[in-house]
Amino acid sequence: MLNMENIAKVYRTELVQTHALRDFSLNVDEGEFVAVTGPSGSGKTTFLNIAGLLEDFSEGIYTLDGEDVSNLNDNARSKIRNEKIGFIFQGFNLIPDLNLFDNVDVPLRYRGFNASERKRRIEESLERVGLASRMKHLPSQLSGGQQQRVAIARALAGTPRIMLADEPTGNLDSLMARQVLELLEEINEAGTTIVMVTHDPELARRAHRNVHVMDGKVTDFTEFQHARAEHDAEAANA
Amino acid sequence: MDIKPIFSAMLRNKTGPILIALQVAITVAIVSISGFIISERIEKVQRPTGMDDANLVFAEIAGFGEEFDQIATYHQDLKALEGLPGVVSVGYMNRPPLTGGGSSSTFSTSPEPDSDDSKGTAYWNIDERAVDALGLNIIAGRNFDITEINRTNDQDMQAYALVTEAYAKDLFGEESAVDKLMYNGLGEPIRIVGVIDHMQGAWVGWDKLDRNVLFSSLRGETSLGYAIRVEPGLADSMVPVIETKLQEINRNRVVTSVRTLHEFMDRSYRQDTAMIKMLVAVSTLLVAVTSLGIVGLAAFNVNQRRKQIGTRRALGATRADILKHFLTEAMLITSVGAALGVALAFAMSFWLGTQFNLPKMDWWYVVPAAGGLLVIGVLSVLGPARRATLISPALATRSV
Amino acid sequence: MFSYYLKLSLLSIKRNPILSTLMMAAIAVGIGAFITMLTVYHIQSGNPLWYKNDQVYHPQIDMWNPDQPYRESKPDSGPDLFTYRDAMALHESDIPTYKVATFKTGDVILPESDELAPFRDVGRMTYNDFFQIFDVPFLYGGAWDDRADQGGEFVVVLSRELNDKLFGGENSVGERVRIGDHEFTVTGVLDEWYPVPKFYDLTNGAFQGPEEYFMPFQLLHTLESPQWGNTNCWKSEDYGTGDEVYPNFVNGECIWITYWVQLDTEQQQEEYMDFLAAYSSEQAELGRSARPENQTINTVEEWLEWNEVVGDDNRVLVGLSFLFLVVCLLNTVGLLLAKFMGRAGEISVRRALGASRLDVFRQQLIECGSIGVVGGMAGIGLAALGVIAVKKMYSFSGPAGMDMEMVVTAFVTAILASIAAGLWPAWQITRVPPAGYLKTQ
Repeated sequence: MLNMENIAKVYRTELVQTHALRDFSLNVDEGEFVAVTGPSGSGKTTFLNIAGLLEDFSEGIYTLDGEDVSNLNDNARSKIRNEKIGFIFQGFNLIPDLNLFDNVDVPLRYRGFNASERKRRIEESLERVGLASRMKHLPSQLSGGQQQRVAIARALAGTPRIMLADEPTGNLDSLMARQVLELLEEINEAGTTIVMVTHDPELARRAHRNVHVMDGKVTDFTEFQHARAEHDAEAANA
Repeated sequence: MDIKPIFSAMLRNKTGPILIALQVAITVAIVSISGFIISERIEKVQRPTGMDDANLVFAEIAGFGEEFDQIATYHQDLKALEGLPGVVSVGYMNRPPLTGGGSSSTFSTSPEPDSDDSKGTAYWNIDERAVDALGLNIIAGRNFDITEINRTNDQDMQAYALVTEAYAKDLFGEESAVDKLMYNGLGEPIRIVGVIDHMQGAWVGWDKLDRNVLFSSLRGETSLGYAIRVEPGLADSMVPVIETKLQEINRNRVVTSVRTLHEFMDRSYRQDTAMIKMLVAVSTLLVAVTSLGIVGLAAFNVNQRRKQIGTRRALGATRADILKHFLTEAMLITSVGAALGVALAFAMSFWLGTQFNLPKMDWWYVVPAAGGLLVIGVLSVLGPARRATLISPALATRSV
Repeated sequence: MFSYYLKLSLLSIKRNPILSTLMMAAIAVGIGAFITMLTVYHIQSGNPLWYKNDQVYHPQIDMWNPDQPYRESKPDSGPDLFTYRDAMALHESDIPTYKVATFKTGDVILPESDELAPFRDVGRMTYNDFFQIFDVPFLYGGAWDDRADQGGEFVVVLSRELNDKLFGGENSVGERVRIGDHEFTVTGVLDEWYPVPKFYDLTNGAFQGPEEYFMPFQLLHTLESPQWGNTNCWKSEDYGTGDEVYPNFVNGECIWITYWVQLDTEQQQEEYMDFLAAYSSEQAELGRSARPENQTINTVEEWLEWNEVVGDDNRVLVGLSFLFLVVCLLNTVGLLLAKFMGRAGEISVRRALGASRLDVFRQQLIECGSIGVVGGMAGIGLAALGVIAVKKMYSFSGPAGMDMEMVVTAFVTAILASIAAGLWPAWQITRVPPAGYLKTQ
């Protein structure tokens, strides 16, 4: 589904060069739920931005859903973001003066669906996150957890092939965090690939696979295989 | 306060400051040039008339029919007008001055017809009472004697004239003009009996506005004009009174116009007063728009830099330091703009001079314009800057 | 998508009411000032007879003072008026389709009814071709016939206003009016006619209304019609006394007559130029004129320009008000930049959700456009008020004001200006890297 080979990203300012990613390779299969972990500044957000086609990279090859997306122009990248990728952010990033319906509507507008198709999809995806009854509310009238569920509905509405989540529970209390995570798992089980960036090991443990990023490189698979085993064991025990 | 870091910060985020500097530049240029044109026009409008202009009313009548008798009407009208309460003095003048209409001719000190040394002037016909009615000041010689007034269109009668000092100088230089002869284009002599210190003539745009000759004549067969001096403050209210009176006493003629001298002057200077008003309006709006722009940009900057300001505060910057930072920034931007504006003002003034035959702007008009904009720039930024000083140092540690 | 962007613009305007109002106000004030000055310019520089610009001509010949040109600033040009003698010589020519000699006059009008006191009014001595050349509209009747042009008949054409005053607006054709010492028969009444500028006679100000009555030119000898327009003389002449004065003046070297011809074809125009040249050299041979042969024919447009109808003041004001508009737009650019940059977060979210740069650019431009529409409409309103105020200041009378052309100009200027002002900020915001604004909000 997602394949990165030897990706490098260098930020240049007048004075310094920073290697945000170097020789970064990662493969995510269809249907996987992958957690990317690492300390602050390790490059995990850069990875997510590149994966989401929000940022360019300096070297390497990136294939998404079988298509080489390394050298696309802005229009093509926007179209891929719109059709294949769903984003979930730590800060939810809902547009404050649009109501829930209109927020979910945003990607569908750029997709060019007609009004009835948009309506159907919006209602369906809000139904799925359990907020169909609050369609006309503004984001500010909802709790954090509810807002994140709207963001998930917005990401879902375009039936993406892959969902990219950046600390999706970072701004939530534990109860709400669990609800959101359960929702993501549900979505994953329904077939959508999920890549989640987090520094919370607790959260990472729930993924199928963990990838640890350090100094812009993927490191130490073994530890995560180990974590995975633990998780499986826990699941077995339960 | 060190300017260098502020300056380099401005260079990094340059669009906003550039926009403000450009606005300030255009504003300084327009305000300088407008200020110059305005003061020039005000000077023009306020030139002394040489007459008691605030208290003068002019009446004109046109007779018709066979039985109209000009001289009889003249005596009848004088009597009636002098009898009106509020009227101080009445005299004959063939038409009011400063209306944009009148007669001009050339006269010479030599009897040769159409002599080469002829000098241009406006001319009028008056009686012996008009000098007092108009409030003219004779500085040499004397007024007309009643016997010197030509009442009958008599071509053979000796012509007498009063001239303004400016015209006397044109003809005779520093010599006294009194009792001298001047000649019209046909070589007919006119005796000058006196010199008036100053009087404005017919056309406010003419460079010979202060050249005037007053003849002692009641010429004109069917029309008459009166200069009526009224008591101070009564000019406007006397207009209808005079009009009614003139209509009442003789129905065999038309009262064609009764107006104050100031009304004629307002009309003559209409272009100039309109120009003054419009330039004042444009300049005022311009300054308002520019200062709003400065307020807007400063407010935006303060908002954008809340975190930075909080950090500075956390690192020990006092409120005064923050205030000074923003004021210095505003000073810098407006100074650059004002300097540009001064250059632009000179360029525009030069260009206008070549294009429109306007006089060149005196250089010092840019000083109050540029200075004023600097002050306005700093004042405009005070509000947003004061708000910046209220930003809490705790903001530095908050990640919102 | 357009309606979606429009909806977003309205939302955005609602969210930032103060900033949005400021922008609209800046555009409105800028457009208002600029269009006011432009309208005044437009009125002053108008040519009411534009559709006959290649047909109607004002000829000029130079019989002025041999020692100096008529206007120092136009040394190669003859005077703007004619002597009676020259006008009549020109009138001999059969080349023009129509030809007219005319001057402004005035007299006392004595109404029949006692309710209306005698009053003095302004009139025009002219030939019947006047009404043809200048397409003067008639409400009742028409011009007098060619025989009356000889000056033997006391006939008159009244303005609509004078007819309203004397006859209460009734059809007065055939009625009699006493003007000065004679009774005149009305042959026609004009409809509303108010050419601005008053191109056919610019000598007493280009922005006055037309005259109230019109009479056959040749009646001037009988009536001894006074010259109410300009009279200029370069030579002193003795006109004698009593009854000799008027005829001596009329036949003298003073100029006071305006002359117009209609030359429909190029052939006529060439022939007429030849005719003027022949007349000039003939007069030179007679020893009358010692001026260079400065004869020419001017179209109405050229004539308006020769007379400098549009004042320098007005041109300066158009320029200054344009700069004022530029300042207002710079201001708007600054405000838009602030507004758009404050929206970097939302735009980044939209970019992440699949909006291309072009989508974002379009959305911003449509927002600028809608601000421009509102600002422009307010600007048109301000300009309409401004024109009224300026007309009052100048004491312009007459119906001239903002025409459709100026309204459209104002509107297009407003929208183009606000879009131009929006281009840079909109471009800037499409260049914001979305990733930077998604992490924290």
